[in-house]
Amino acid sequence: MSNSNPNGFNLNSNQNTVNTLLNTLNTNNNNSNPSGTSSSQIGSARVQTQSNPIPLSSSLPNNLSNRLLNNIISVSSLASSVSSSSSSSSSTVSNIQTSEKMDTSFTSNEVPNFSLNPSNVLSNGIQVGDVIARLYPNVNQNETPLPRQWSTDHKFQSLTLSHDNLRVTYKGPGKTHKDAASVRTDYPIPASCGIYYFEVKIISKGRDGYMGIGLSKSEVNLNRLPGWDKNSYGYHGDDGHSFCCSGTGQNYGPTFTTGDIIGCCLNLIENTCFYTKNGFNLGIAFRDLPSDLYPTVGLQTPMECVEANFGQYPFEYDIHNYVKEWHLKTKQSIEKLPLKKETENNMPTILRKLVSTYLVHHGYSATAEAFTKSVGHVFEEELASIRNRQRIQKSVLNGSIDESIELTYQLFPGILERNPNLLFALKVRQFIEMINNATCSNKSNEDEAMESSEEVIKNGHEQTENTEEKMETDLNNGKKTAENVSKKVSLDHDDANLKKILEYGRELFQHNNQFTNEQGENSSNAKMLRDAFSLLAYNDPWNSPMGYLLDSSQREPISALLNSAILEANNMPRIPPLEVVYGQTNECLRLMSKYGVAWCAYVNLNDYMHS
Amino acid sequence: MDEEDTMFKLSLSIDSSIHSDKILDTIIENLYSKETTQIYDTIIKIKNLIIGNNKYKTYYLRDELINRLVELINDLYINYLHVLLNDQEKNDQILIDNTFLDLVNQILVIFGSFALGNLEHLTKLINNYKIHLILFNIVHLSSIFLRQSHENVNNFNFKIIETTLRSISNLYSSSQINSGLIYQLDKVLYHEENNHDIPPNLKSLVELFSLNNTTKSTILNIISISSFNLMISTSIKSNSEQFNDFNIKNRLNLIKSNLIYLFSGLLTSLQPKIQLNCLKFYASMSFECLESTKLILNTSYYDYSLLDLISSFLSRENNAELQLYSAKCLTNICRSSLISKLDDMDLNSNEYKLVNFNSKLIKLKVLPTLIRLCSTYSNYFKNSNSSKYDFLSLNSSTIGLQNKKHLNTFFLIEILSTLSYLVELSSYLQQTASCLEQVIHLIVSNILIGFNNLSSNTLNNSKLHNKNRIVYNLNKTSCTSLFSLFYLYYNQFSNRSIYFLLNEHQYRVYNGKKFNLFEEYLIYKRLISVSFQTLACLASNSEESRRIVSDNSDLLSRLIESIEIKDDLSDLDDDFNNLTDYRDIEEKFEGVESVKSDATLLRISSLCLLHSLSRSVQQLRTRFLDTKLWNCIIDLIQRLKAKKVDFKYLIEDGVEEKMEVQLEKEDDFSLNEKNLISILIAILANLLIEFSPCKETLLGDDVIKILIDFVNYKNKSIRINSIWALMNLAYHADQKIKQQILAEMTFDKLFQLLTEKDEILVLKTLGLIRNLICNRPHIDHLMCFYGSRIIQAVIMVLEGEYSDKMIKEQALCILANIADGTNVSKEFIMGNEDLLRKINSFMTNNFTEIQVAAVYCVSNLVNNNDDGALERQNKLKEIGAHRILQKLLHSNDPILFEKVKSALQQFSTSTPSNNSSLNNLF
Repeated sequence: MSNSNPNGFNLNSNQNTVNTLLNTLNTNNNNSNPSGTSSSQIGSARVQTQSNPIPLSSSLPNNLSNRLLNNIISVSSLASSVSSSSSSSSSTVSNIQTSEKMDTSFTSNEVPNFSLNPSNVLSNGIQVGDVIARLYPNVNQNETPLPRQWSTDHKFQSLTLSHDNLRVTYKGPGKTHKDAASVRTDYPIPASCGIYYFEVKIISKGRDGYMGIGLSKSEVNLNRLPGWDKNSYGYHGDDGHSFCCSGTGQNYGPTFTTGDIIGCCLNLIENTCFYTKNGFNLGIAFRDLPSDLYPTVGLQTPMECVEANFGQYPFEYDIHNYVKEWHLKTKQSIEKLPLKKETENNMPTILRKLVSTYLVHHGYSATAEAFTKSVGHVFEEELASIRNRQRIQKSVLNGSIDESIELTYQLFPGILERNPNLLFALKVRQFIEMINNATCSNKSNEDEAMESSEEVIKNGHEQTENTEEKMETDLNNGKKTAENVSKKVSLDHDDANLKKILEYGRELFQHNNQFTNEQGENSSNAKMLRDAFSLLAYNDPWNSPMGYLLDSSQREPISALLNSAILEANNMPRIPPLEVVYGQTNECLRLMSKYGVAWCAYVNLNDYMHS
Repeated sequence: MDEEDTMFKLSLSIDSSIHSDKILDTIIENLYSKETTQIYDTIIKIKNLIIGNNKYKTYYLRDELINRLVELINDLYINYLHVLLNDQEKNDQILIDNTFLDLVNQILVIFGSFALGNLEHLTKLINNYKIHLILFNIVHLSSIFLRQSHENVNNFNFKIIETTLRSISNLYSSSQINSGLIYQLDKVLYHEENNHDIPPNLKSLVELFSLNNTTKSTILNIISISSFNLMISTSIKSNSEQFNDFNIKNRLNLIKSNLIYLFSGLLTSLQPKIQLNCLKFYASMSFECLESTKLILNTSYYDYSLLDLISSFLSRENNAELQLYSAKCLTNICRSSLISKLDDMDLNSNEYKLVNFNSKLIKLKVLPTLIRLCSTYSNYFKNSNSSKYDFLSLNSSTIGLQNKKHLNTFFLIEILSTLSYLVELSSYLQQTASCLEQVIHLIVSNILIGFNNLSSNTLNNSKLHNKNRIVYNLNKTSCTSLFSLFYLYYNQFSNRSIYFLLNEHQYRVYNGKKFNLFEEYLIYKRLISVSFQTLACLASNSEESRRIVSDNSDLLSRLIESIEIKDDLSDLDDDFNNLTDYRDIEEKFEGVESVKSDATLLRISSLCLLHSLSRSVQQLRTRFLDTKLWNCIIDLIQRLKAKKVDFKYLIEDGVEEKMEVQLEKEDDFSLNEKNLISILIAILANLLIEFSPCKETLLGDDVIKILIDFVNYKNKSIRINSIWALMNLAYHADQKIKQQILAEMTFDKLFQLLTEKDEILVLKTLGLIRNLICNRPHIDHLMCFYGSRIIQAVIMVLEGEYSDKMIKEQALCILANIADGTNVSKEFIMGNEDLLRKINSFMTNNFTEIQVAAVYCVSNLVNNNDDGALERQNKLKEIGAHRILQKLLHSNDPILFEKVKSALQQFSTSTPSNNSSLNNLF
């Protein structure tokens, strides 16, 4: 089903996927089906004349977030969801299907996005309660696992491991420096850690206390203390010297012995390393370090024993404070990045354009109007057209698909005719809504929800001069609404109702057959239909495996799809530039993390989304 | 380019227009016009002209104009306020035209703008026109009005209050202002009507504080600068007592005024500049002031204690300035809370535990923060051309690049001085600090770079023929800051350190003022001084640090260089006259003074470092020997001797008035020189100790005589250090030296010293006596001469009341030494039954050290290798000493146990020897 390789997912395959998706969509558009119009052009044109600015649809902010989350970055989340072993729910699988065949926006919001939501543990392969992973939220552990214990393979034979492979004891002859022995961790330090830190407690200094703590690459000889060879770096307890790829040490810090806790911090951004002793920073020991280093300890005399802490216990040194500083530095270096002169001059215009196109795209007409007024930017689409789109979207989101189809026919003629797949999807949705209505006796509840959402919209109006970030705050309210709506009631076998539904279903089925006859098998349509039909087979559709379809949040992708189709037909971008920018940035960050540019560890797009 | 041209033309036209007095005349005429609008327009015109233009300020700052403006304010506003205050009922009826209020506001803005001018403008404003009086008057009246009418404030113009406060704040925060003018301002601010109340003007500020956010930040600004000034002036003692009292009283007023609590809310403000001002306020308030420290520790803002709020700024995501001042504030609190040990109150209270040297806050937060800042800024200083760390500074955008560089250097000075102040008294912190982030290496490199900058400084190369002469002149200076490092004793916290002088520097330099070559020069000097000082602190208890420092031969040669400078006072002024650059500086003499004081400061810092190094036996025997480091010490001593020759004449004139002459003599040394002498003697004390390789060389130079002369000084630390040096000298010395000491010192003098109140002095004198009465032949010899007097002195000490138990221990040790002599000496003790009973009672003392000393004394007395041991043993048994000793055998203390055991052995083994002697008799 999925053609992407979980681990070796690279840029090319991404682009391919994107291309295929675009192609799919294009073909859909091109293969317009005029016959699709006949069935549902009858609807009355109830055009509501409203003098007030049309309230923004309640779910629009939700929609925004969904799109932001999934639309553009879906490719990356796709990869992670495929590869993630822990998130193997059926919904994920179906997401992959739909998103591949239909549109990228069809991934459900259940797919977590790791770049946006670091605390979300699913997509990174982080298990809940994994303290080590929580220290390095931007590390994708499926690609680059974190060091967690000493490796039993990368270990010289005179060392023994105990205590979950964290404690190392020297059991060799310990006569000369030829008897030195080192052990490395199971994995190298991933660059996307940004700042990596581990501590080693000296359990016993043994006979002479010739202990070295440091970093080394995988090819370094294990019969040596860290620091003595090329690509090997260490801080030694007997003399307090630091060894940088050389047999002779430099004066560095104090000596250490039994009971001391020595920390080693690798800053992958600067490529430097400093040590700490009992919680005090000893200063930078090494600079210009290579990549792919392993935490390493080396021991040389009998009964020397050290225990590592890779993060499973609290650290002695306040590393979070240090990390905070780099968060700040990253942020400042981004904000102070000099732009080209002409770009800098045009910056306000560009930003205004980004914001206003975004507002227009989603049909926040009143906000867009107010924004335009305050900054003096003119948008291309007519206001009436925006309002129309807004109305159509609103009706989709309210679940009155019929109405939206009618409106579309009436206001934007030709779109559904050219786009039979879309029409079909809308109709399937209508079918689902019918089931939904039949099962949802608590209709008033939904109305209530709608009312509350209107209030939300009023808020949105008051904030008209603010940019889209403000609207993000509405997101929560939108979600609440969705919860309200989704109060489930078991399917009431009202015969008349059922009959009606079945009839509509039959119609749909024929429709599909007709499709198949004309254009050949369209598996996605067929599946969509099958899924929708299967709802009928359950006594309690809400609790069935397909129950998620009934959720009102499922209206959002199709509403977005319809919106995009309308926009595209009017020669407008299918995806607003703002979202493209966002997506590009995210993808860029992902690639940075992949190719070991450590700065990415402390770039959090959310900082810019909400601040 | 075009802009510059037009600017140039503009300034030309200004020049031409200025010189016509006609304009001024018409302006003043207009101000007397009856048309309000005309007055208003004129005032607006003046305002627009003078803002940002010093030439116009000079031009408009005329008696006629200012008098008229003041008159307008008086007529229009102050009288109005008076009327409002007097007729409460008519309050609503009196309406004032808004245009009048606007007019007043504009005039106040004009004053505020004048306050931002140069020193001349400020001096005129404050000294001639007393503008600050008017401003404070408005503040005062407004606050009274607001206090009286809670509801009827609708018709009140808050804008005027804001402008007034801002003008005052401008006066205070002017980069040009000097301490004399600030004193003028403070005098009004803290002017008291009666002695027990908070000064009315201060009270008004406190009341207006809660008005709105603007007044909050302006008042914070005023108070933080004022408190800073108070801190500086309390730490630099002025000549007049009155002035000192004024400062101390004002600090107490600030404490009483609730501002410590009020400002705590501003710490949570989101503006870094306000936070910074708050931290600065707390830092200057908490400096060596127990009262405010107590208050800070007990204040909390909602659920957060003030201490937590302050320490939250230590975290790295804050900008460097906030971190520094937060650390500085906590350092001051920590050091101030130590003062409580003197008064013996709240010693173990929980608050103080939070901020003592061993608290987590100081150990794990403040110290690492300072070290981190130090290493960051040292690195920055190293590559001062790179702008990598620019963003760390709050003011990065407002100041030019060159000034930014100096600001960073200044920062480094501030960081280092705070660091040295923090670790000064705690050897644990010293040891921890010195191994962190290779801080010693960094500081050493700072010094060397500083020296390089000094020598590459154009001031040196092109203008000065002889750089040493200018830089290193040692002279009587006006600088009176005391230096706390060489107060080697724990309870002298009231003494001040160099740290403050640096603050004074900050005061002048920090506010973005332009640097001239001369000031740049001073900055490097200061940096070097403070680095030496920090190294001295870090190395004072750590052998490893001393090794690192002394391994750097460049540093040592610089050290010697900065100590070995010839006094050459006469040429100084000539040199400055040769400096064409320097002639431009108006306060020429002030400048000269600061050069001098800086030179002394540098020398003191270098000596401090030398003192730290001299504490190490290893260093004494290696580096000191190799480089003959003591040569510069001897050199300095020679010079001091030369100075003393002058006093001799004075003394010979009137022998009876000797004491008075001594007092006068003190004045011949400035405070800085006294510090210099003190530290010099401290070094001597280390150099004179038995194993020192240079002891003999130094003795050739009349050292004993010089030291004994210094014992007669009034200055406490000089006396103590001199006695200390003599004590070290007498340790294991030969008879000749001891006799020489006694001959010069005379026993009367020693006896007199024992009666002094200063316990450390007594302790060290006892130590000296103990060292003198050492080694059997010496003991007997001395006891022959002074026996009865020594015993008398010891009894006096044993009977005296001292808080330091070490004193009794020393006295008992002297007795033990006497008891170690032959029968003749022993008889001095044995013959005095009272004394024996005293020793007995000390054996059961609470303190082990005293017990040990007493037991040791008994053990020496009963030593059965001496003749007549039996009698003594019997006598002691009679008194009960034996019984006590047997009881003490159960002691847990190993040292005491050993002593008791050996004493009892003397008793037990004596019995057979007794018998044998008896047998022999028979």
